[in-house]
Amino acid sequence: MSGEAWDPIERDRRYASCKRAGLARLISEGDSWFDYPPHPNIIDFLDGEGFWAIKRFEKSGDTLENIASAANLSRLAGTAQKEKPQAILLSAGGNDLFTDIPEKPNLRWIWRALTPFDPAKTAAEHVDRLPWDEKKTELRQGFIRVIAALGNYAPILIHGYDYLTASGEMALYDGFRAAGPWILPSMRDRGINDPDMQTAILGVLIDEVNEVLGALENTYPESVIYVDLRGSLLPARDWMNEIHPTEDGFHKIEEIFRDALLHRLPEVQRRRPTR
Amino acid sequence: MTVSFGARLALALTWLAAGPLSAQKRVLVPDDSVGAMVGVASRLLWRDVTLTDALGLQSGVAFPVRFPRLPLQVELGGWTALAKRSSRGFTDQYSASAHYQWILVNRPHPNSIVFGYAEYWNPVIRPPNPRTRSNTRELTVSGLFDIGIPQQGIRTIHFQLDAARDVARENATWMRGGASASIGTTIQRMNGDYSLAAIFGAAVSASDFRGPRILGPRPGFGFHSADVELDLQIRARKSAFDATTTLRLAAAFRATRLGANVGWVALRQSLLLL
Repeated sequence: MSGEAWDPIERDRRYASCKRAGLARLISEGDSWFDYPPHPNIIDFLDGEGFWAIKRFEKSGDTLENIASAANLSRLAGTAQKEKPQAILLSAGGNDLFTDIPEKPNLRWIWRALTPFDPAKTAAEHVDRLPWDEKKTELRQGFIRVIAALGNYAPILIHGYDYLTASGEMALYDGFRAAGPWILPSMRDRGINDPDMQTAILGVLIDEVNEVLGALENTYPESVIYVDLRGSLLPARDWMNEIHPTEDGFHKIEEIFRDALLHRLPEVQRRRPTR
Repeated sequence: MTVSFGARLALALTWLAAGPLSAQKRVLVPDDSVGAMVGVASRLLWRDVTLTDALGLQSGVAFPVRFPRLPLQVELGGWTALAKRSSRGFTDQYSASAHYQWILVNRPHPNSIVFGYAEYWNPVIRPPNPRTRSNTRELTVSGLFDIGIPQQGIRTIHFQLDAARDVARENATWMRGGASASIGTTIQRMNGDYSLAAIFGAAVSASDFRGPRILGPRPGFGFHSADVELDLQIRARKSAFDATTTLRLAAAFRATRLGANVGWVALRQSLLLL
């Protein structure tokens, strides 16, 4: 029977059993889209497919900055060298938009990417280009560090999330620990109160993050498989809170990952030179 | 309950089914770990029947076997008095069991049914009674179901329904329904991971077991006991094994025929090979 699903040690025990059953190996690393405490996430559903043994490193709340640190990449590379995975799954970058900022202790980094509301401006013009371009550069560099450290071992699947929602919904962990909201307070602080404008601005941000990731796939086609999740989730139904899908939403996303692993990964593996 | 050593290690099989989405083989993988456990308890109980009303030793090993191709999980267990033995009924008990798990639904919310066969030996019976067998056999079936309550942020509640039929000594039936849930955290280090958990469980059971009287008229099938348990657990993972230390605080509210309500404390150390 299953143990405690949240427990990384239980996940290791599960990985060992799946390896003994001869399943293809994967490594996963990332944030709450791979390790969401309140309900099953992408990796939990992939694990339930019965195709893969997944060595899991993800941690809810983790940032790309931390994932791409030298110490963590060394740990991941050591594991990849030993376990010889077919692919490495990476979910990262989202929390880098929601780190704490000293000038607004109650708000998150995304506040810096917004300009004060101006009814004459478009959604794109409400994005403060300098900090946002700097953030995108940081994200790109972080992903490149991961690709440089791990790309030789296996293709890396990356994604750029779906369009986040400024719903103001909080997350509830274990029935009593609340987190968030991550987006709406910053929007309101900037005077952006129109839900349509909020949605449009988030669309600009998510589109541009996905452009960065898509470009990485084009630059490193033998090492990167970019999974475009935009438009997969129904805004009114599939989001549990501002940045996390519902359980059904995660299942939808997982099906896209599953199809990428089953149908796109073999092609990339054929293209890779023997290493 | 769901995270006890026996339950955690209880079951194993590989059930193969054709995957509808791909030619790739879909495999439902149960726990096939090899493990061992030893612990001390302030009193020894088995299904809330008192074996020893004093300090006792619990021990067990579990490992997978194939018979001949049927994947089974075998468990050997022991309940050994360390202090005074009971002057009435059984005290020490040893068991061997084999389980077959039929996985109905795979993760993330697994459901399965487990069929089992067990042999029990009770080498010490007091007062000695030639009419009482020192061993017995049992058939068991369990249903394991996991659910979550996402709106409340509750990832998993484990439900377990057990039924056991003694087919040699008592010819009695025992049934139990229980649930458990956990809260915990993880400390990740470069040299290994550690997790701390508190696991709360509750269960209620019914039976027509005679209990410690062994002989005498059979009671009607009815309330057996109600249990509440709190496990405080520390798990440490090294490269090839998982060591778990569990402090269990438990209480049993028992039918009159089983004796007074009791509470006990147990400290267990288990080791799983990964």
